[in-house]
Amino acid sequence: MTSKENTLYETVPGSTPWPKPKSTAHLITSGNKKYAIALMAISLLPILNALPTGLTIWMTVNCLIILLLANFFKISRSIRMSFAVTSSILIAIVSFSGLASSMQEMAYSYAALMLCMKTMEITSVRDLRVISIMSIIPSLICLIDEANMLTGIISIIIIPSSISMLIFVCDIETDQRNNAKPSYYFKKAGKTLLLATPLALIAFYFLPRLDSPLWGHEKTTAGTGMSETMSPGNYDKLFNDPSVAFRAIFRTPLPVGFQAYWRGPVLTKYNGETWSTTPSFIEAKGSAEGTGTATSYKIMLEPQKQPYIPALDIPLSISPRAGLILNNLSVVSNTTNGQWRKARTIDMSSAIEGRNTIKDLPEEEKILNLELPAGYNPRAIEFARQLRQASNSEEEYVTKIASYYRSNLTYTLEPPLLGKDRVDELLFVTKQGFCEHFSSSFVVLMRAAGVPARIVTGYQGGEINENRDFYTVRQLYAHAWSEVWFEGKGWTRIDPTGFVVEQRPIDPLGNNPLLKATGLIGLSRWISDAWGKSVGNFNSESQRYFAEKLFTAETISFSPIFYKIFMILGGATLFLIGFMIVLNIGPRNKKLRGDPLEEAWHKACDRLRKIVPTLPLHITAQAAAKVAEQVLNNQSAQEFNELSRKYSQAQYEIAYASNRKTLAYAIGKWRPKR
Amino acid sequence: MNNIIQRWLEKRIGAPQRLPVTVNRKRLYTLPTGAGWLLLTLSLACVIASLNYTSNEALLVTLILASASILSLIMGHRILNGVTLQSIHVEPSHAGDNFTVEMEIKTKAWAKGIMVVIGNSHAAFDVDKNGVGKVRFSLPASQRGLWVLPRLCLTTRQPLGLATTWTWIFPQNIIVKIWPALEREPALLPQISTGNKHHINNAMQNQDIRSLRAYRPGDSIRQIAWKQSARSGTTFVREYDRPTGEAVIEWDKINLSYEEKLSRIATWVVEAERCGRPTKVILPNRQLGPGKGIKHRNECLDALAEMPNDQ
Repeated sequence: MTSKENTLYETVPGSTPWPKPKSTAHLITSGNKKYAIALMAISLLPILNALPTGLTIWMTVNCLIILLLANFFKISRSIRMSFAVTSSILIAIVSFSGLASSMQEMAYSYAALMLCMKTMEITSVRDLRVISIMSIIPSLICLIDEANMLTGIISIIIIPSSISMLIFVCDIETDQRNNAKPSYYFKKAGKTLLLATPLALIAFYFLPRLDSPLWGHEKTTAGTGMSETMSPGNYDKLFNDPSVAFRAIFRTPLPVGFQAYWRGPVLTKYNGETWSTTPSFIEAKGSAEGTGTATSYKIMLEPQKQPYIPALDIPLSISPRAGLILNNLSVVSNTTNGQWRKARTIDMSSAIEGRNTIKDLPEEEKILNLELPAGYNPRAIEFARQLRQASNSEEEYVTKIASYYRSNLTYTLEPPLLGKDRVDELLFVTKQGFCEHFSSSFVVLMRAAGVPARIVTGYQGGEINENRDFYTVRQLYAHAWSEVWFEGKGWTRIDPTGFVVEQRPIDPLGNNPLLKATGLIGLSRWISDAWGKSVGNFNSESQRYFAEKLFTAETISFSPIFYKIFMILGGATLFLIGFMIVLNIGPRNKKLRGDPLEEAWHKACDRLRKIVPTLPLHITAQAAAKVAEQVLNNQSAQEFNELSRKYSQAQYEIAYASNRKTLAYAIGKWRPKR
Repeated sequence: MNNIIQRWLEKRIGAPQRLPVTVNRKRLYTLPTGAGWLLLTLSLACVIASLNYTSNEALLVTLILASASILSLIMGHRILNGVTLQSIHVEPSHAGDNFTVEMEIKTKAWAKGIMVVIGNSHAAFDVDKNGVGKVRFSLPASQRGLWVLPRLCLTTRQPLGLATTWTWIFPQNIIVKIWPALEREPALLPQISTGNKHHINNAMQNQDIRSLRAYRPGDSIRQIAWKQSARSGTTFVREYDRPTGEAVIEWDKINLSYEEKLSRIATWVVEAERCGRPTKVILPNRQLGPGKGIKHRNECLDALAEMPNDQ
């Protein structure tokens, strides 16, 4: 190598420090386009229903024309552009003419139009990628708007499709024409998504939730909840509703059978037709007293429209930020912040099989619990008086009524409607009814005999999971029973429905005919249950519970900000650990810096470059020596010349191999001097 | 900004490395592509929206998408991590043509979709079941001379195309020899050094006609094949086998500009090899030959490529 060398390309290819993408226009075939258009068509499915009809028709026609043009004619750019222009005009029309009736419809229209417009303009691999990503948008909007089984299934179809499209696009970009079938790409996409799921779950459970929305209103899909009124004799639809009211998680053995009475509102006022709560009674008591084993549990309440929290008999305590226990042992949410509309998790404890220790009934309360509307149910009142006179004690009176119920009344979910004297008609005419009828008539009979009594509404039973640590209680477990005040004993629960049937048709252990769905319906119900339990109802409240369960042994409660910071840090740490593990799998190259001689030489050149900034990056030894001669003082230049000569020798002559290290050292020591 | 990155990059890449070069994880770079930025923006928007509207389902789906894209970064990283550039072979060529660079790259057997970038040329390659793949590049040879192959880039957008992962490899001393361009219309080879002016005539009389070729300036009028030329409309000359006779190409005897001179010598050397004539090339600083055959031709052309630039 005696002659000079140059660098073919002085600088890095291109001017960017990262590789420029190559032109990909030639890779776009009509086949690729077809995939993209198909993907777009599928992705529009979930929102098709919500689009304005005119827009839908226009888009369909438009897409058909594009398909025709793309596959049978050579379409020119101008035609494509004209379609783009029409689309923009249509967007303007949608925005200003009120074609879309709501904001939501508008959002859908925009998403759909943008997708359609993009499919008209596929000229590079980049466009295919953009379409794959944009095709996710409609289903995501749909999920945000309303998550149900259908949208869930649709997004389960669409997301792997767009991921496999992304993989496919990557393959055509690198000319990997291996003629793989779509199933190959779906398999790869499935793998990727499976790998991503654990990371996503970490993020999901650790991402702090908002306590209140940043903008807009909260979604209110609240169920009816427990009613503050009850009109036995009217039709009640709660019985047919299998939606979940709440779930209860226990650390101790589950309450079963007659223990599983979930208290709701207590109804004391009767006008002959409707039972209702007594407003004057609602006063906070702090916490109730009771005997029996205290059981602590968590109630995961679905959104509902009433502030009542179902609690096991007899509620002892509730976390003060969640709610309070009333005098009549109903539990209500802290109504000041109106949070009862949201799903939430509440810590509670109750005395199961306990007895209320409140031993004396205030006079005004006694009067309230003995009140009967005047002029209603004369036969029942007469019947009660006679029966009470024939019995020695209040307990015996109850037993006698029980035996009357057992022998005369029958249970049905579809009782005949009742007229004015409802209790009379029920007891002596129709003799058919369900819990509301029985408890209502029972309380009337009690009051008529001078025994204070009231109706408690709520739920009874529930489905127990396999691990037997939590209950799922649905709306159809709604129940009504009564409480009777016995002198010296206090309020005692008596369930008149139990007189009539051994077991309610709604079996607490989940043998309900309404729920006994097998096959697909059963599976779907099971899925939606499991989903709701672990994902659907996860919110800031349950996240706090999760954090407490995860990081602390027992019931230390975090301050909200602290726990949020904790969640972010914890999640990020877990994420990073995973990331680092993956990154560190791979070869470690000890000779990262390359050849020591080369290294030393480049450093020397760098030093020279400080004096001569124009010195090319990859200059040859001789050229560098020449430059050095011009700018450095004699001695320094000579040294450099000698070193560069030796360097050239070392690089091209094998005989020199042994001296490389010493030379590298010598070059390293050299400093340019002017 | 680009300049700052550029300088930092130069520092990081450092000295050229001897082959084989194994890609180290510390020299892998990753940036999102346009599609990646799009997905990132979309994910952020969806996370905020689903937090706001407390839609856990949408949040979970968005997070799965986001994690899949983050995983794709790792996968891209793992595809390139540990890739070895085993050898580079450069085929010299004439200026104005394309020269070819052949590389042997060893990857993990499952690693697909790696592209090699030199300048503005991209080349993808397939790997066999051992993970060894051969890349062939055809690059424009713009100017005569000896050149150093620039640093090359291994890049991939696999698996999702959401991020570009790349690394720079600067192989040590891969010399690209670019020979002088060949003349379009080559002049006749210089005559035999013995100076026998009648050689052509003798040849014409003694030798069989080998072929006809188009007329070139400097051809003898006697050589023109008039009949064939009249028939076809272009001027043909008869070519004779000239097995003997050494062609001597002398630098000083050509009266052209510097690069043109090199071009002419190169053309003659090629021509002589084609005709099988031994040649002797006398350059200002060295003398080659006499000799013949491909090897000799390449030696001569290399010597021409190594000639310094005209000052």
